[in-house]
Amino acid sequence: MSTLLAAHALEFAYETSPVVRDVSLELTRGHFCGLIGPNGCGKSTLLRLLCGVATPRSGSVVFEGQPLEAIEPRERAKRIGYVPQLQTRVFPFTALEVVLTGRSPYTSRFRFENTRDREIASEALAAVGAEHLAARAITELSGGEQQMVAVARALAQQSSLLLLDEPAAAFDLKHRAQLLASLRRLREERELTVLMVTHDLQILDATFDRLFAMRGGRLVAEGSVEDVLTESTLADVYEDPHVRAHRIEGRTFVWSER
Amino acid sequence: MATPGRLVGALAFFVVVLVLATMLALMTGYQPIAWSDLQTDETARIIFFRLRIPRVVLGLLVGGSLAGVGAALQALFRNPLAEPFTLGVSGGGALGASVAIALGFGANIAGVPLVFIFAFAGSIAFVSIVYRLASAGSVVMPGTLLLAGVVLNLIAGAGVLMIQFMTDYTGALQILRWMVGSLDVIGLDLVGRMLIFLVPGMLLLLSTTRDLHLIAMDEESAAALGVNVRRVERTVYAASSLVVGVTVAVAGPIGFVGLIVPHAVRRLFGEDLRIVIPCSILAGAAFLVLADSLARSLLGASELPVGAVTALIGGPLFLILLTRRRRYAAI
Repeated sequence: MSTLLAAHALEFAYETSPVVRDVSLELTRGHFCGLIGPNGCGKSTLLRLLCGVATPRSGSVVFEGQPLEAIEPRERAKRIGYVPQLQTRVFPFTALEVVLTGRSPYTSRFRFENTRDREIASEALAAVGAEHLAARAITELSGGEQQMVAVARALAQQSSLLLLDEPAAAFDLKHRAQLLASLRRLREERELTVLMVTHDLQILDATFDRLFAMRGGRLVAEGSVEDVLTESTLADVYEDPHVRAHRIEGRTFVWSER
Repeated sequence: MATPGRLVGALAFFVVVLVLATMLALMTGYQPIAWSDLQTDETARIIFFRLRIPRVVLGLLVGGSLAGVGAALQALFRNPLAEPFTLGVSGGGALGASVAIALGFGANIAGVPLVFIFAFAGSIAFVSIVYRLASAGSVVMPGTLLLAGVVLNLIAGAGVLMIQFMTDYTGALQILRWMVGSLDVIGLDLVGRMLIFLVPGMLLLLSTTRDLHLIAMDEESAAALGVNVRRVERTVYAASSLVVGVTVAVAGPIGFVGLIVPHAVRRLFGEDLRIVIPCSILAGAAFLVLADSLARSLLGASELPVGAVTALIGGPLFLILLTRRRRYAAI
């Protein structure tokens, strides 16, 4: 098992108050990892640092043995896919046009995507169960449908690492399962590595190899899903003594009893 | 969907439109000129070569510039109502140009009229102020952007008015001519000098179309796809200011071309910026010479400023777009 990405002592602040403090973590190639924590704890910012969209104030990210900032941005986009939590949707681009931008790291500046790129984009849409949306304007899609298109765009990048910021938050039950199944298939096919931010703790099934938990910008817990999703750890992470956790058939069900 | 074939088809369509528009514009005017007159009649020759051709060429350059910049600004700010006029870029250029006139800077530096340089400086100053005002962190607020642009235009207008009051009669008249926006020009000399600014500006703009296509969808995703968003922003500001500054210096702040034309192009050929921007340049050129033909022929002997014609078409369109909140959620 080799390390795909290693972050060391990351620090970041938007204005003056730090958002990410002294975070170090490693992602193993082919592993699915979850990232949980209360609202505003720095999860999204950590993802931005790991994909190079934001630059840490101090600390380092090493991807495949290379410092992240030393990798040319378009080359980086071939290896790391990132789906932000919120996206602006102003112009009525079609869903397929959006997904095709995932091929732009592979397309030179003054060319259009070719037939192969279009096939890959269609496959990516199918992988999230959204092939029927291809010709629709994204401005007319529902929140969940827009999110499917965004995930498909990242899949079309064919990267070895996917950083997903609450990708399935607006997905229905079936599409949620379909997304995970597609990701699992890509792990088998080409050792895809995933780091997924989620508030939905039920989604963290046996697919996930590792779970990170943040609070106040720091990484406060790390381990297998089973180890982290315990009442005592979750009470600490969410600062809520009323958390209850119950394991049924390999999944942990979590709720707060207040 | 965007393919090379679609781009070529769209460009071919607008080239045809452009040729037809140019021919119509060359034939239009208070003084009808027949092809045979050009060989025999000296007056007709002077009117045609010294007045009409320069005017049409200026119209093509200004229209293409404003529409291309409009399409780029809309993508960059993810705001369908952005254009040089509404963002105050034109206003800044006008203020810079009138300062140059008032100070008596009719001079050239290495063949570049100082008024061009001042107009460029005014444009780039205003576009950066607008952007600073409208951005909070990395987020640009669309409403604030337009509001800031409108207010800066008002400030620029007041500044120009003050300069007009303080300067001499000739200067005041020249400034007045600019502020309404007109393609009145004699000879091709000044038009030729504009190319010093227009050619690099347009090339810069065209070099960003792929990146703008990604940014128009989502800035954060564009960054994740390897686009250096800050660098594209700076390139578009520089290109817009080069292009808009110099067109304003010669033709005045002609409004709404940058709004009307990109919307029409998107209607016809879709949203892909790699098609929209080059096509907007061609379509804008055609649009402005047509609008100018209208301005020259509506009132018979006297002519309307073309800026008034574009505003009369563009203003209502702006309002229509404003009511489409469902389609353009971000306004």
